[in-house]
Amino acid sequence: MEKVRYFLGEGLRNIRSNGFVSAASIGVLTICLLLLGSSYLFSENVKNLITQVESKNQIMVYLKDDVSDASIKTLKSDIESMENVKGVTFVSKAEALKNAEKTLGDKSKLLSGFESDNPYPNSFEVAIKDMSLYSQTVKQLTKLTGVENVSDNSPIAAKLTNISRVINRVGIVLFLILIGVSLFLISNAIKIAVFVRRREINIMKFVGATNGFIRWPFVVEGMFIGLAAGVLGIVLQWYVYTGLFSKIFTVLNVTQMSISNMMPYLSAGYLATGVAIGVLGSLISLHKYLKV
Amino acid sequence: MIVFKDTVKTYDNGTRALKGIDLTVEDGEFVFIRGASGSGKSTLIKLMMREEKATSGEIFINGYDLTKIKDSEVPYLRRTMGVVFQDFRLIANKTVYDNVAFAMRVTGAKPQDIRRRVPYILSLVGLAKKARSMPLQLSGGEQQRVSLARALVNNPISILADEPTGNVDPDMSIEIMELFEEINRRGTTIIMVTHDATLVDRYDYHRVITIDGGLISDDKPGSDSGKGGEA
Repeated sequence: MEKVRYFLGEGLRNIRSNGFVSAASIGVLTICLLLLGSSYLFSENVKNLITQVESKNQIMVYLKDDVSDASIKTLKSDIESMENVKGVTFVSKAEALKNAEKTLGDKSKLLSGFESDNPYPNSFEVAIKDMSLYSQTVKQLTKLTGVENVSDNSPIAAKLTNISRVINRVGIVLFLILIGVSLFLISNAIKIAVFVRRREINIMKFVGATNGFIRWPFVVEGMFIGLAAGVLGIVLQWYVYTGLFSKIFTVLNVTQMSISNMMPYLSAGYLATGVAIGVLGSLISLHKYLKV
Repeated sequence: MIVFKDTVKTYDNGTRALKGIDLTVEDGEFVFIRGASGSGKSTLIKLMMREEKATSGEIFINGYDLTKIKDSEVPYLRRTMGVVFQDFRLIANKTVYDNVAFAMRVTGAKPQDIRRRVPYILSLVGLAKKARSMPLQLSGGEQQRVSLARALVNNPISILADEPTGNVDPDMSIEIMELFEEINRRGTTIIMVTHDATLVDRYDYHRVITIDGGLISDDKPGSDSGKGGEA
């Protein structure tokens, strides 16, 4: 217990004794974490958006008029048995006309006279499971006999998936670069701390302090830097998400996920990543500059 | 006990600092090791501290075999041997008390043991009243006594002193020497490395080992008066 108190005290003293480098390390690590967090939040939102779009997403399959009722039944079960199909709803010619009348409202008179010669085809509303397989499913549906036409509005979800993939990639590259910079800065902070205290370290060595005892305060210093960056990152992330992000989402006319549900995971991630990088930076430096 | 058996040290740059040292120092002895600069005495100190490893031969110090010791055991070897340097090596921004306490703290001593032991050691070296002073407020002689207190505080078997009076006024150096004598009388082995012939002559009732060119050129045993005699 006494030792732990000593290590914590010395670690804090190290940070204070070279404030500028410590502050720079904390700053860059914070940005690094912020980037990681933002990229995570963004991709969560895109995922959320995709599920929304997907749940709405339907492929319309229009049938030829000469298809018999019996064939319609077989077609339906054929489509239902397809792997990527969640559900199939049959919309008859009459229903389609009614729907159109409803949509037109006041102007439904335009459709009068079509009752005897209904131009709307029989159709299936097909809900699919996996958007990434969208075009394959469309092809499969088109090949079925009796199918006149398949609505082929290019799927938003597929685009979203692409965008999210690109953003994730850019995020990861930036994150890796910034991790490199943070590691460099932190190991520099530790290097300076070792240099400032070289006299004490020398004394510790000849009075018989163990290597671990000499090293721990510096590891603690790295840990504190990571912890500080983690806490700072969480706070900033909150503001960035509820401020900047929500503006972007509003412009895009997209619902934003609430941050509070994600906060526990996010915070744990921030702290763990911060501390891990801090300690790693410190170990790199000790390995190089503190031969004990 | 400190034993060197045919110890050779050749540095990587080819310098042959020690060419075959045979030496035994029993527990409780007071030994001078004399030698001009370049004679190999600094290397001898480094080998004892295990800052350097011997090229060949054997070294045993206070129960540790230095040819076989693991790196992780080195701190424990060093705890058996207090060290006093010519330049004191005190921490300037710590008080006298804290400088001495530091040596105990870094070996993981309990706080209550530190509180009990440090004042006792400070009074032993005559610095009880200076506990709250900073090192730079003290004279050279006093600073060296702080460093001696630090060497003693972990209750070592032996004390290795490297030119302990080198930076101290002649008057003060007598005090320091008296302190070493006192510590030796209480049973701690003293190995004092020096090039100061006057100092050695004044205390020539102790054993004097002379090193020259990496070899022991003379080993004059101490007379009885030096070893706890009643004279």
